Amino acid sequence: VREAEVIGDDPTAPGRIDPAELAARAARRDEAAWSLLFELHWRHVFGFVRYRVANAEVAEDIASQAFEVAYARAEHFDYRGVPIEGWLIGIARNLVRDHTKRLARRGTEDELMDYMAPAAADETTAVELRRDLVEAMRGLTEDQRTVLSLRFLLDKSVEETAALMDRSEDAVKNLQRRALAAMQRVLAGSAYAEGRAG
Amino acid sequence: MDRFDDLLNRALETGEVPIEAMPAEREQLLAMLASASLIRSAGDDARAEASEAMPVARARFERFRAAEVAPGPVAISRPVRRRSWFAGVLAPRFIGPAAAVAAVIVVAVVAGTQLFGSGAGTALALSPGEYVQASGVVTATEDRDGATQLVVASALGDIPVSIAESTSIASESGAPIAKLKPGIRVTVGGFVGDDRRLAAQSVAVAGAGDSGPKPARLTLRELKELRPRLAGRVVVFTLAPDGSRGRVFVEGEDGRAYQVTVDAGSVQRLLELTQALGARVEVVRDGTFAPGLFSLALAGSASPTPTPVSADPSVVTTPSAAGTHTATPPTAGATPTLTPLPRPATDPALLTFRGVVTARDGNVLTVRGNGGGVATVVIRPATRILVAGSGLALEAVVRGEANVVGHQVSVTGGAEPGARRIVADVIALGPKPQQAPAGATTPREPAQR
Repeated sequence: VREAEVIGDDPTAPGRIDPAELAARAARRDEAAWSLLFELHWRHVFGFVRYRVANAEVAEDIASQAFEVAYARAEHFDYRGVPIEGWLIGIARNLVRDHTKRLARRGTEDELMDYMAPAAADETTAVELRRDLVEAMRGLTEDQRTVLSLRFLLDKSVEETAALMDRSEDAVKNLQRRALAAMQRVLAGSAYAEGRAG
Repeated sequence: MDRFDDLLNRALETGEVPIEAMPAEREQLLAMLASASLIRSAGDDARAEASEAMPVARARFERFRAAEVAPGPVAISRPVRRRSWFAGVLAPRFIGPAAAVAAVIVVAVVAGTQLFGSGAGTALALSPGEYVQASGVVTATEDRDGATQLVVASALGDIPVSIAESTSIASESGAPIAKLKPGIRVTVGGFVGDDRRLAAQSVAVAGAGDSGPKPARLTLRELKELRPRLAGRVVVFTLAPDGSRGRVFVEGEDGRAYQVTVDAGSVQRLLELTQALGARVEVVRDGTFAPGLFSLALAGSASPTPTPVSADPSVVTTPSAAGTHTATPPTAGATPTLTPLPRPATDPALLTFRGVVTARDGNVLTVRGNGGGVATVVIRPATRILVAGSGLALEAVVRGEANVVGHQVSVTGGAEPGARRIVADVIALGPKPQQAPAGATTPREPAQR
């Protein structure tokens, strides 16, 4: 769901509110604006985090923290064409980094691969996919992880990804190529990767 | 732009390798498409997980914001309007002594919760727009901005409540309520506003302002997967703004407390009880429900068997510690009826009225009660209307296009201050009984809502 569509349907919003106005309201900690921002961006922030951490619970916690940090620092957000979503994702990325460092310091790096027990209905392939995806992601650079997350986990267009990463579209296309090549190398031995390739 | 970057981007957009790709490029592009496909597939899983986690995360974020902007302590103080005639005169006649109620609370809640199985601490808050019914003890009152503000200590924590001029307040004993003072026990029904306060529509006050101990605050877990034989007592329940589902907070017999998301039919069955709060329920699950959605059923073994009373066979009674409660028995094919079980004797009950609609004039219904009395029911713009089991379409009912005359109805609300009418907080329409009541008329104009 695109921001403009949701905003247009928001009964509390008198007329259409452009992103700049929404950002201004958010900076003032306008409650309705933050409720709307949560509805608009929760799934994306969660999705961005999901395959950088071990399980859904950790992803939920970090995505929640991202909104809390954003709200607490609302007055510092400077809207100059950078989408609020990009700001939220940037915060989430930093939180994931801090989380990973904490685990490494504690010598519990393996927790990254320590998935919750799959529910009975889970299919083995899906579980393996998550596991391999997290592992493959770990082998990429931060920019590569970000571009893959935005392009394919969150279904962002090249243009949207460029705006969120504050890069040119050509730079995004180049990054996605390198990232996919790196992913392909990591997943080369995966049976389901080969199967899907066909 | 690099030629291969361009080929790759086009391949990703179309899902096919461009025809001008060289054989070596084609092989590489196919492998990359496979990798992208894998990530997209994982993205579908992530979206499903995100949706599942969203209610709890939303509540956590709301609690966080509420804590950031939390108002200072509420000062003690002063009387709130009183009312009385309905509880003293009409209510006993129509709905029995236990329902001659009225008075208090406001909800805006925040309670500690735990994610099932994860042990992670999370928050839960009542969401703006929800209808909420909760009981508790008034711990503070204050007059502010032309309204009385209360803090009600409930099983979910402190709930800020706003009392307006239009709020119906009544005592179970029928005595005038001169003052809502700290220490009295109340039940409040109302809607959660954007400011996190519960805008009380109806308040029931225990006895003649009886005091009571504050309820112990529960540590709640959100129920995500059904647990076998999960039964307990309803301490708070809510209804979503669109009436599609509700949340029931259950104090389980296993010593734990749960937040359970339930279908609209379950909320409707709760509302059909004289006292929904305190009802003992069993959590069940319909195989067709979405993950995390449950239903409520009669928790049979611990429930006394209802026995018919009075000349009206549609009314049954169930003994309880607080007196006699009435409940409508299930109709053929309906899901099990809930039975109120013993509850704290100090829990007051909101006004409920059950019967059959005999006329509708705009936003006013005439309802013939199961006991034979007739009541005028006012539908306010904020009134929630439930139609599960009625065969009617909600929008048609709201617009006045559906003929509700002859349908069973259960009204929860309060007495209109200064007028002898019931003001509905929630109206639950049921099916038509076998024979329409005599004197039924047709609607004359659309209802407000």
